[in-house]
Amino acid sequence: MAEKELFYLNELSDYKVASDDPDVRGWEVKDADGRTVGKVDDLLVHKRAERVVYVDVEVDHALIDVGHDPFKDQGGEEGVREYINKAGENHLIIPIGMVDVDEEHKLVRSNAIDHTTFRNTRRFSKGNNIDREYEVSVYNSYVPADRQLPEGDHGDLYEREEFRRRR
Amino acid sequence: MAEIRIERKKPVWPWIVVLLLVLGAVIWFLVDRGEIQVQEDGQVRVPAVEQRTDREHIDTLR
Repeated sequence: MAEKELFYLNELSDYKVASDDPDVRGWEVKDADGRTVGKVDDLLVHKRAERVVYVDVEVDHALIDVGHDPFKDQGGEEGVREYINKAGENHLIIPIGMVDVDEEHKLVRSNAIDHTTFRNTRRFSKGNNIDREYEVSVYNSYVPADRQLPEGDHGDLYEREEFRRRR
Repeated sequence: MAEIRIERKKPVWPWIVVLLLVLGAVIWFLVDRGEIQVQEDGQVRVPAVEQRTDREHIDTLR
């Protein structure tokens, strides 16, 4: 079985955000249109690489309640659809390379992702373990079709530019 | 794009050692000056300091 790589920072009592970097926990998250997505509840870290790879966002009620089609099509059989998100699933993750940190206003901006994309992204319940299948599913909902990944392990996922600072 | 690194928290025990050393030095200094007396039975005695009460102070003013 593969060694666990992802940890919530809040559960690593002997680690903290590096002193030169901002601790964005509790900061508001805004989408590409400046609309509120939620607030950063925790950070998901790659312990061995000693860096944050996702922000864990507690989604704003307005985004959950907004009138939208809560189903996704199950390609193939006509009429077979399922809920994207169940009641209580109010958290989602954003790759760290897809957000900008506005330290002056204490805001996290996800300029590459719009409100509709966030509405239709699979969510999870607070504290749930994040598995690779979920990570790939969320990643694919954020990136253009030509960057989407097929199902699989993708051990090098965090080396992709969505998880890195652009230099 | 953001990049946030994490680091191990610095251990607390060196500060505890420093605190104990400072406390030890203060006690040693006070004992050396006679402000604290350690008796043969191991009891610590702080010599009484004479203090005038307000009543005595008023009496001296009369």
